[in-house]
Amino acid sequence: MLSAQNIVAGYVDEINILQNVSVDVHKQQITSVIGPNGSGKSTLMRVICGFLKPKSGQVMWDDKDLTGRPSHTMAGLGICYLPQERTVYPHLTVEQNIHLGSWTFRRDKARIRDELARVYDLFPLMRERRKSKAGDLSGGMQKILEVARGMMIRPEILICDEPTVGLAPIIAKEVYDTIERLKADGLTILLVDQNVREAIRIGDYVYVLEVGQNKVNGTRSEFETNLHDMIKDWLQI
Amino acid sequence: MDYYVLSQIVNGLIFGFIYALIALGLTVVFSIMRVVNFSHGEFYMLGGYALYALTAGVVTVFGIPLSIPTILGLPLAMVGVAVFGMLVERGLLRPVYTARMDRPEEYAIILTFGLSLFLQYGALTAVGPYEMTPGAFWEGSKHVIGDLYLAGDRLFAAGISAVLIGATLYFIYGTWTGRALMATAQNRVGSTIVGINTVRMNITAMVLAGLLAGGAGALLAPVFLVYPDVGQIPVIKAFVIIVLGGMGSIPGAVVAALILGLVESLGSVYVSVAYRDVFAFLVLIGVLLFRPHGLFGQQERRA
Repeated sequence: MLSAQNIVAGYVDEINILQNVSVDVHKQQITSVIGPNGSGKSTLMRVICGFLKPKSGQVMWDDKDLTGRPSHTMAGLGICYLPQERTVYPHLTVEQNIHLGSWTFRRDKARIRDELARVYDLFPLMRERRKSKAGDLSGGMQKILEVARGMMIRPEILICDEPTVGLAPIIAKEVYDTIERLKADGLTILLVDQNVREAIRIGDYVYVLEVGQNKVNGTRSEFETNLHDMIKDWLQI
Repeated sequence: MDYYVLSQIVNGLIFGFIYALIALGLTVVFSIMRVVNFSHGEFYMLGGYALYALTAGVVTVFGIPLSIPTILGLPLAMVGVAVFGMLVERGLLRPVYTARMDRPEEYAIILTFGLSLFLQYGALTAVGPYEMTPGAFWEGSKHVIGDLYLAGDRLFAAGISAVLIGATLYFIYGTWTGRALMATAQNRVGSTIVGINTVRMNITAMVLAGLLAGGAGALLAPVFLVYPDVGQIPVIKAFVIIVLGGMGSIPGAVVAALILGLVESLGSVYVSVAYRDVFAFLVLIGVLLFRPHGLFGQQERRA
């Protein structure tokens, strides 16, 4: 289980973006974190993945303390983080991009070969485009490429920050289908999304943040019934 | 063919190789760290002084004057400058990419510019404005072909430069660390999430820059001597080269360096030697008029 407890964090001394947030992510489930703009969702992901040191609070991954651990050590622990921004290497080919996903076990040639074949089986489109430069792919394909690259380490958990922002709905659907497929394969997923409907539809458990604090949380069914009121509440109509 | 022209072509290529050494380090540091290292010319200068100090017998350690053979002095000088590069990274440049600071790029520019002046005037204070001559790598004039004779030191410099360029290209395109460098240049966050320690990549970039610039400085020291601002003209040429080749493009830097070396040499013959240092800028203006991204540059191209 991934567990972030009582996280307080911010980018400057005086302002705390996260004022006291706790999130638990259970294995082989999709846990969705939703909330309006500025509620601290992305900041929470950055704290969990070591890109931002929390001022207080603790991040645990099973029995390992992740708090303040450098971000580049996460891949070695089986944690795959996909931030909101593009992270492909635009001038390298699709294959070179995916290949670099094996950095943590780069000495093991046999394993690289096996994982590459497995990742291509999971994402046949990537095999088709393997000679293309990553920068020439569409936004949605780049996102899938990021997931594919992340899968090289056989992660135990995928932490996805707004994977479909800026994508056309039909391509966004493909990304969500991919996430659900990975969950079916046993992956644990922490999903942050502004697309509330999708986040609740595919989420097993949902957290709502508001101005850096936990607002409500519960299972999908609890949310599906209240969704309408909740959104009205956010929009303050 | 006229041997005079041939000798100028060969000389041009020799300069091209040396320019490429200087430009490669500059472009790698820029790609990885986003730092324009204005003190790169002083890395070159330090290479020359290091060779001199190690080989000329003027520095004494425990009462024994240091006068090791120049051929051994070269790798030691390179390593020395690489260590210096590491110290600059650790002590001065790390805040640029780790601390959350306002305007890190401007900080880096002022800092490396200041370091450049500090090292130049430091050298002036420490050893004076005199030109110093380390011993030759390969003494005398060598017969190349027909009537073509070239200074052994120049041939040696070109040969070693070619080897170092080859080694650098292999390192960048043929090793895991090189691939990680390219990935870091193209997307820092994307590199971190696959497990690449980008701070270590910065150190690698500075070490590589130190090795290459220090090597270039040491290789040319017996030919052009060493003095405090010896690095000024070469580093300006290196800046021209990396813009000409396309910012951050490694093949671009090598090709542009060779073009520049040839243009300078042939320009000196057919136009006037007085304009030697102007040709670089004429070529630059000409190329940028038609290819604003440089020869091998692409929009947003890094490494």
